[in-house]
Amino acid sequence: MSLTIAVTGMNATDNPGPGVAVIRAIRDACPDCTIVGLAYETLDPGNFMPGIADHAYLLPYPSMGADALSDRLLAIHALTPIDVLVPTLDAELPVWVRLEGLLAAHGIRTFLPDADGLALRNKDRLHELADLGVSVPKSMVLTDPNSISKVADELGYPVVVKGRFYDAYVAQNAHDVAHWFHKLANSWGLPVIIQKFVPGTEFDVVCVGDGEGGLIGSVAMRKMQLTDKGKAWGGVTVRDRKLEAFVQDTVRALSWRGPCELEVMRGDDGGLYLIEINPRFPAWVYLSAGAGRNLPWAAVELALGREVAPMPPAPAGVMFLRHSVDQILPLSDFEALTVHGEIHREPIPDPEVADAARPAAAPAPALMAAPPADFNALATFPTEFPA
Amino acid sequence: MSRLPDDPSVKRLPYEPPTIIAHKTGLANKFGGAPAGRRSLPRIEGVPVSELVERFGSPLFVFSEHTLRRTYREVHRAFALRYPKVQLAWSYKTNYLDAVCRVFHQEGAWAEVVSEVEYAMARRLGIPGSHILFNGPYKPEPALRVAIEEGAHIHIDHHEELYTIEKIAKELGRKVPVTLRINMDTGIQPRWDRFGFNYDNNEALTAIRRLHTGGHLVLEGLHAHIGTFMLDPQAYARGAAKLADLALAAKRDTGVAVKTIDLGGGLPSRATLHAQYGPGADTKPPVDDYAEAITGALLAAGFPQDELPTLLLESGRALVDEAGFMITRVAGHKRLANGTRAIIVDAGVNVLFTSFWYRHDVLPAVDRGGMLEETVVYGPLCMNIDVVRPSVLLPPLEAGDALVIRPVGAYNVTQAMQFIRLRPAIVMIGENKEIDLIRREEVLDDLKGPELLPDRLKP
Amino acid sequence: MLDHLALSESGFLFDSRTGLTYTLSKSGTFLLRALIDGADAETLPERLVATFDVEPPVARKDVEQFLFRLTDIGILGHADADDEVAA
Ligand SMILES: Cc1ncc(COP(=O)(O)O)c(C=O)c1O
Repeated sequence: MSLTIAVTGMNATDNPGPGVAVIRAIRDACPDCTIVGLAYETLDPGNFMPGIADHAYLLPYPSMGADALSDRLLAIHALTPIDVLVPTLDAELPVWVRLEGLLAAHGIRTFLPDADGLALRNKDRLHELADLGVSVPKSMVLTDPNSISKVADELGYPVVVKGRFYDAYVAQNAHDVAHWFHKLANSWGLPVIIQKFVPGTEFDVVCVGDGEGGLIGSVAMRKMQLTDKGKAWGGVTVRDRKLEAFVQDTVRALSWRGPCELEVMRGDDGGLYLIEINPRFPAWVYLSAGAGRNLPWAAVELALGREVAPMPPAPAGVMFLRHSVDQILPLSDFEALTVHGEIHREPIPDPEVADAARPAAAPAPALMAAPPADFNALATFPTEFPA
Repeated sequence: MSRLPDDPSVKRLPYEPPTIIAHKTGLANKFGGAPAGRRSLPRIEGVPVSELVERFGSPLFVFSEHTLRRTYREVHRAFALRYPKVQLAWSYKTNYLDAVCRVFHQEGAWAEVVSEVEYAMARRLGIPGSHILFNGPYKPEPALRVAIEEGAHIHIDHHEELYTIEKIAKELGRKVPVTLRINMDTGIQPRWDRFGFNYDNNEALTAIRRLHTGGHLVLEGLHAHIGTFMLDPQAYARGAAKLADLALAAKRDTGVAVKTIDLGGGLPSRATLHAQYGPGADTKPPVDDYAEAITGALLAAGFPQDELPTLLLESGRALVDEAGFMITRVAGHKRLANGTRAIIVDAGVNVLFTSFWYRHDVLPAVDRGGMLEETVVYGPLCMNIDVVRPSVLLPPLEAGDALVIRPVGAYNVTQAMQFIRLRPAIVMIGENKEIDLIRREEVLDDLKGPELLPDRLKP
Repeated sequence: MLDHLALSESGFLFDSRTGLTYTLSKSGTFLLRALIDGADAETLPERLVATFDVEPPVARKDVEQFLFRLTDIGILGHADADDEVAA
């Protein structure tokens, strides 16, 4: 029986979500897997890309809460039974982690970090990693502008001033710190994190940890081309013993479970420092499949409870360069997603068969079982847009 | 058109009003008819909302006695399981309806009051002074005298108060037990350092020494209320550790063992702050985490077994918020100039003060189907700020339809104001589903009664 | 007159003049379909009552508001709307 894998993050935009890359990697390893693409926006391009999702569905925003999200996913599951779910976006992860047990009870497998692991990668807690033996730049957590005067003694300048959720600025003196402190506190609330500035080169490493300290595989990349938001638009795999050991140690110290992206600085002093952990695959993860280390597929296998042997280090010199394409799509696809929240490019599985295969699957609510869209009614649609 | 509308042989389709929604990105209603995300609340504690409206009108505050008791027991149990001596004191200002206070007192709660008015409320409900914690930055001298005579637990906020109590003690010729309110850095913002004596700069320990050498006061307890709607249990662990440390230092310096450690209130309810991303109920740590943090810190502090202080808690919001509902009815609807749908309801920020901070759940009592649409919920006041929800997904509604707003049990009744409108009736649904009016709807005389009009201005 | 509007039975509407898309409720789809097919706006309340379980006064009020909204958001041209709203 072929597997059905659901993947979120279909926003293959200029600041892309990882969903499309994850799906491409899974397709490489498993050409007859059925892929369910889960999107939060109708206009996420991944919904419409040929060869990506066999079934595309819209989800309610995670901000609507765990109940709305699980109700929707179980309704989708009733229609297209899902074996493995691979979430790929920061904002949704805490909710999926909370729902892990419920999903498992319905036969939907995941391989995610636990809530504590997720909490530990919060920016204001990164310094706690030092207690676990991970090398992080020295930092302070400021809740009060009066303590800015201590930065010089405790860290020394320059420093990076970071917002609780986003944004980072380099500061050369207390005056700069005060300026950014207020700006960041206003945008993201307190605390503000002050990190010692590490001059050097950044490497991004995608990893999958087995949750018991083992590293299943990792691919390190240096960015060659950046978007104006600083995201990778092109890059090349690198190999460095020290970096490999660093990644292995970090994953072991955290007992990281599932995918993650480590942002690592190699300081001009020769030391390696962990700058940030993203608890999911990065958008450039297809590079891992390109380098022969298909990490998305490894994550799927781990979710299925299969044994996955640790992978040897990835070869250096594999390059990727992203490009953008103008996709022509039928208005009826847009209508199907807008009105019904779903597009089906493959037949919906016969519920009889699906039920027999998966006794735990939730019964299909009547409303969701309705035909996805009245395609006949669309025959009158202009297929070419008026000039 | 040949068919007559009321021809019984024609089966007509269920109706929903004709609407059109323009597609734009970021629309929360992404798949109009799908069941996920459609919610309504036809009953509160099993009682139909329609019945409540019919009997008591609208707007109407509704309290669930069952939820009050259940929540109290949950919180009490979480602490009592982990620590041998626990006493809850009901924070009156959170909701001082007599019926609500009595439920908590029946469950075993003491009273926590912050003015002579609240003090009198508690006494009126039969609470002895020895079961009252008297907090607050302003306690007039006569109020202090009454409280001392009646054996209430006075929590000193500042030096002037300390001197006043010393003076009274001297006059009475007996030692008065007192508690000091302490503020400290627990790693959270804002820091409530306007109340009490600071721990971090040693102001607190100095005050304790000073109080001890004065000879008229005995240090009975230490108290901290670190903030409200605190989402980080670890802040309490830090607070409890600091109070315990201070208690042990006080014992070392003065020989007097502190009898009570009071960690105030501040536990969150399942409400959702405007700034929170998802529903608050999803992210609120369970009360057990707070209990673990506080009792863990106290048990690890190194108190001798026979000097383990009693743990006092003054939880307000967490005990009452979810037990309170507001029923309101749609007065009308409109399209704003930008196309946004808006409804006007009969309960606004005059009675739902907490709308300024929280994204309250707004649920139709009955969902007759139809497209959900982002809707602004305006209150009845002729004031631009009267917004109950800036945006919430609602089905089509008609004038007269009831909505339920929740959770609104904390701080709304006590802060409801007679601004433009009088205050609504309040009912309590009992454990056996009996419905009692616990505060009648106000009449004009409730507002105008205290006024005196000079003869020369009379009409 | 309204041949720039492509309305499907699902309630999905594409305005080929502006490129904007919309979703309509069932009754909204029903009314707009009638207009596209050339119905006189004055007959809309009657048609609504014949097909949906709604009282005539409510139907009249809802149709009036719906037509106003269609005009307001530019689905119906203002010239057209003058007669139609007069229902
Ligand atoms: C001293 C004191 N105790 C208890 C409370 C109750 O707080 P909460 O409702 O956050 O539990 C307050 C509220 O401000 C307070 O000031």
